[in-house]
Amino acid sequence: MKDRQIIFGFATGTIVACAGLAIISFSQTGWNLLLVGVALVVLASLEKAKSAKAAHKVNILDSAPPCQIGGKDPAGV
Amino acid sequence: MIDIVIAFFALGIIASVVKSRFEFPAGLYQTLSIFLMLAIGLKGGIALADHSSPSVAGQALVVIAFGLMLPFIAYPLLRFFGGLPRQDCASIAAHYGSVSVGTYAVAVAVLESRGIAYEAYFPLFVVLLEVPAIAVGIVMADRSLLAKSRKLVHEVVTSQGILLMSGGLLIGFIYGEHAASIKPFFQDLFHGVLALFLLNMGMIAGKKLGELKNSSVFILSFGVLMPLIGAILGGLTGSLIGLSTGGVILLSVLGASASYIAVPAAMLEALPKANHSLSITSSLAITFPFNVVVGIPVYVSLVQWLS
Repeated sequence: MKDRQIIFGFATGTIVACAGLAIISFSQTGWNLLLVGVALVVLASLEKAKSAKAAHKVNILDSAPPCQIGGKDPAGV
Repeated sequence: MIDIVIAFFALGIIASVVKSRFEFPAGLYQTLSIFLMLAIGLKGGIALADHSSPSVAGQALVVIAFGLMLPFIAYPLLRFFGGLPRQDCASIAAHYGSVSVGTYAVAVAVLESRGIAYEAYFPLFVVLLEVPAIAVGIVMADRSLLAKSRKLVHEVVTSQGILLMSGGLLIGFIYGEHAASIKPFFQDLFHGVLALFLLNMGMIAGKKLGELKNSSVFILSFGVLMPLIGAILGGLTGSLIGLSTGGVILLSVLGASASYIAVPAAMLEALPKANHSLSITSSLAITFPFNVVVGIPVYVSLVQWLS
């Protein structure tokens, strides 16, 4: 679900930025729209990076042997 | 250069961001809202007395259909991409299907400052667009609620926005040109009162900016995309029913706006389990500032360019 939300953010940012670019050709108001679009794309990228980092962390924890989690070997070895 | 009333909105945001100790006196926001709603209603009613014709009734029907359509666009976006619970989706969709009188007032001020003519009976459409989305939102959340909720109907019909605007419309319509004695108060002071209203709205939006840190990029994107969809559809509907350039701009603005007064109260009553903070953050902290600062100038330029 998180992926869908991020895709939505990317898509919206891109659409808004493109609309801003198109409007710039006949009105200065397009700059604001372009700015909003770019901001959304940047925020979506940050969120993607954040969720990728979190997923990586979970993978490391899942793949690590039990003794390495928490720094104590349950078998006492 | 941005419109002078929008500059007051920016001042309000700055005052809030720099944590100024300046506070609006208690009750002034309510007073300003009452003034704006009555002024908009009265102006529309007086104009309607001059222009009432079957064609206006036809336009009104199309505008209601437009209002019913918007939640059906918002709901699937919220459900499919956002993965939000059904009640939250329905509540947010109702907010975006209804309209914001504050945003409408800003659009009117912008049109008047630029000398763009519009249908003076437009407040009729504002009143008509307030209600349908609430019913659609409730049906989306739980169909059985609509039959049960007599209290809700009372809540909606007697809400400040509906009561004052439709009351103003009716009084203006009945008295027509005889309302001249109160015109200086309600019309000449309109822009000044709107500036004060926006100063306060800027402060409220500024305080809500902090909450955006906790919002996902999805809600931010939705709060920007949905007004653009509404504006495009509003523009198309306005052209379809033969409105003037100013009228098309206003219907775009109404389509783009999201309610933050009438609908939150109704949704609180009808869907108590919905996340109301999400819907009010989206409509008040994202869509309202977006429309005021970015959207309205874009809609004006776009419609003028196309026409």
